[in-house]
Amino acid sequence: MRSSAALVAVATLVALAASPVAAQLAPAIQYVLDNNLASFNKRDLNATMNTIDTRSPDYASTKAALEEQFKELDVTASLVKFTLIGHDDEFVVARASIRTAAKPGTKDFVDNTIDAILLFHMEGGAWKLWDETILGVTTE
Amino acid sequence: MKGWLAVGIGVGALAMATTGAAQSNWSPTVDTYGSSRAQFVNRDMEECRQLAFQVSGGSAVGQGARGAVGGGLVGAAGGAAIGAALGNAGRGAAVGAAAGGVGRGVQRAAQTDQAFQRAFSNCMRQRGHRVLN
Repeated sequence: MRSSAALVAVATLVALAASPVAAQLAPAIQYVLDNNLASFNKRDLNATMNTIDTRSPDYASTKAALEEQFKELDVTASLVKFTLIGHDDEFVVARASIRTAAKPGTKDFVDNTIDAILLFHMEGGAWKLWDETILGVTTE
Repeated sequence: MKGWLAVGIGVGALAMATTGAAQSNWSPTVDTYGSSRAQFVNRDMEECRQLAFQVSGGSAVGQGARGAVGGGLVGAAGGAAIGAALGNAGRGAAVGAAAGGVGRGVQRAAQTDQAFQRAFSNCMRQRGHRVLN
């Protein structure tokens, strides 16, 4: 029953994705993710967290993880692919592939590309990341 | 396809099983010096890879892990945590892989990888190749 409801929700979102509104929305949403990755690559914690909705259930855990990552890792992230799936009156759903790689010769890090579904939510008049589910991981 | 996406959206922060995360590219190193079986290395590599996938429960060759890991981290932090955890489980936990089940998923992936690599190497040895790792 729950999965049926989810299917209907996704079908609705996919249908909405074909609308002109979705076409206008896609660049704005991708900008949020681009900004997240660029800020991450600059090791700018405040700027990275500024791309995430402060009410996100993952806000605190992401902030804590980033603080450690900026101290422990020297990696960069880049957007490989971005597809806006759809939206309703509150959330936008997109799918993205993000590659994370360390400098050549770095030990103890496996370069990878994640395939993820991302939820975006409006906060303070700006779209921000809300949640993420990683569907797959490809390593190099 | 839609059902698959629905699962992805619906699980939110739940962790799901990870298989075959780092398997697609790994191959054992074989020393062919003086080996009478050297001409069969490439063929045996492919056959042993397939067998090792079956043994370890991995996914098809060339496919990334599916239904991998969920929640806990948003944006660039996710890939960084996964890469660290796959490289070193302890370090991965320190940089956020433990958040929201990422650690559990990666841990399963690492265990599956170990089984895959062990099976791959054993298979090559049993076919008469000198495997160095």
